[in-house]
Amino acid sequence: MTEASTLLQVRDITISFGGLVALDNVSFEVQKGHIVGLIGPNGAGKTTMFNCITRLYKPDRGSITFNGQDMLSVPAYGIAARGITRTFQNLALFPTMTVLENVLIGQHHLLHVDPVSSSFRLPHVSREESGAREHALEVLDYLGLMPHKDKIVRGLPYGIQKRVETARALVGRPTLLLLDEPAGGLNHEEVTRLGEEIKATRDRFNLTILLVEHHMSLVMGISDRVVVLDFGKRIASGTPAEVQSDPAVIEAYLGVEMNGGAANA
Amino acid sequence: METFFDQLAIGASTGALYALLALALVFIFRATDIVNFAQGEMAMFNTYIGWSISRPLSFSWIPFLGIERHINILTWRPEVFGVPLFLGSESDGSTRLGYLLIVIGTVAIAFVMGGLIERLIIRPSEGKNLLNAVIVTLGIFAIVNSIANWRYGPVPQTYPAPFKGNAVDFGLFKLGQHSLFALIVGLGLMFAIYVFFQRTRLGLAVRAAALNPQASELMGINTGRMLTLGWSLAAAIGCLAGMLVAPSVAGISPNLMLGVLLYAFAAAVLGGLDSALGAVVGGLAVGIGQSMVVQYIGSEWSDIVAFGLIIGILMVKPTGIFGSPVVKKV
Repeated sequence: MTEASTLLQVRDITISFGGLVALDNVSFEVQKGHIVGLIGPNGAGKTTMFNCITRLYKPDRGSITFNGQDMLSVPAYGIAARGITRTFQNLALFPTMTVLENVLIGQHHLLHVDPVSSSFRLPHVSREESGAREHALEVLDYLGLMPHKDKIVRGLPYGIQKRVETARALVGRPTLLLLDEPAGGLNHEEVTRLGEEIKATRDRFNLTILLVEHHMSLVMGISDRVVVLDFGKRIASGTPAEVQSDPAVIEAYLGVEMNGGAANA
Repeated sequence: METFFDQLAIGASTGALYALLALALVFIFRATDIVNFAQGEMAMFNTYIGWSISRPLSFSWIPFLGIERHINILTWRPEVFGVPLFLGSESDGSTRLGYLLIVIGTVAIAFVMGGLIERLIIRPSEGKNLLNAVIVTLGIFAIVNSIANWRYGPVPQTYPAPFKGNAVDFGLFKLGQHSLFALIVGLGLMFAIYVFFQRTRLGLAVRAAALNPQASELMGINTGRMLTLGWSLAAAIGCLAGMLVAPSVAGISPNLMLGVLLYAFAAAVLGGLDSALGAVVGGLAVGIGQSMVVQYIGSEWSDIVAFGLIIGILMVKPTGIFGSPVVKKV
């Protein structure tokens, strides 16, 4: 674990909302190329951590360093350009737009639009836009979304919408991809397939992935490291095997889910 | 029957202007959930600025005396708009160039002013209570109206129009040249707006920022800037509507846009406050409807029908024809 391979470093992050401490001195690191699982019971602060990393929330204390850069000095709209994109637990798509339009917006930060040349569609804008379109189509094809590309997002099944969100995050050429409960709403068979897909996607796009997930067998099956939060505190971190045998983790989960997970892993 | 088609044409022309102002209302409503009551007065004030720069200019305050001579050589401004009736029907190149320059200058000022209003007045009141922001727009309405009264006085002033000649006879109907011009410009603008929002990346980003600001930020969209741009665009479009309205009424006065704004509201509510297509359809429907009511029932019924329509729609179908049902974001 050398310094050079550390992609994301979260140190002593504390944030509270009106007296409720959502994250309490949480620190962890993500190594380049790893899949890191961020788990914990409901309300443990997992999504809050995502929101801190992507600057939707401003932590009260602590630091977040990505690629050697201080992320807390970057505004939310500058995060994607630094190489971090994400999906959302409850889907944050643009419902009245088509699948392709949603995905095109995902690479907004890669384009150098200025209002004037965009409005008049000058040649270099058109060139850039057609390049963007091609890349978007590639990603749609990779995720099997081509049959849906011109459909309005609002009417699509939940599973397809989740894929659209993944496509929108991937198309921005991230180095770090944050996935917030990708298995939510999927059946058992789909979850098994999802695990393989996440690993394949990491390899194909050279990604590092930070994953929030309730589905223990999935997290334990694909993660290189696992960080466990409970009531805003980090209670364990290590390899899946280490974490599963940690008494504090078993207590937090009352044993139930972990046993099921261990049997699958 | 001829009267019917005449009224249809003139109604469509007025309706195109209602539609433009309704579009401006829709942009701001979609981006910020604010109904901008000041939309009409902003347009009126900017139209006055257009009127100011269209008058024969006095350059006595300019230290560079050479410029005055230079402007006089160009002659495009005072000559043309001193006698717009005379030169309008000939529609020679210099006439339209002059008008075009006035339009460009005025729209540029309106664009900047709209952005400044958003940055300096609207943004500080945003995000707290929606009602605050709406009352702020009512405040802007009253203040701008008062400033116009104080600065320009209540008497209507003649407003320049590029075409003021005889009505054009299309066989089925006749339409005054200015109304025809307003109709063409209005429809052209709507098409340009459509292309901007549907076919350009910046338009896509503005739409995204209105739909889901947080997600948009994480795609690299500076949503604050998009809001400013939305207000700027709305102000510019409103200003163009104002410049087209002024010549077709008695001229420009501080109450120029009062009636237009109310009919634009009726149009936006009819089409659905969050639907651009609704604003266009609603605008044309209200314009044509008003024209028919005036012709066949009586002009005193015009307001009654329009506002009866607003109240009726809000009771029966609050989302309008094309509006989407209200979904509260959590």
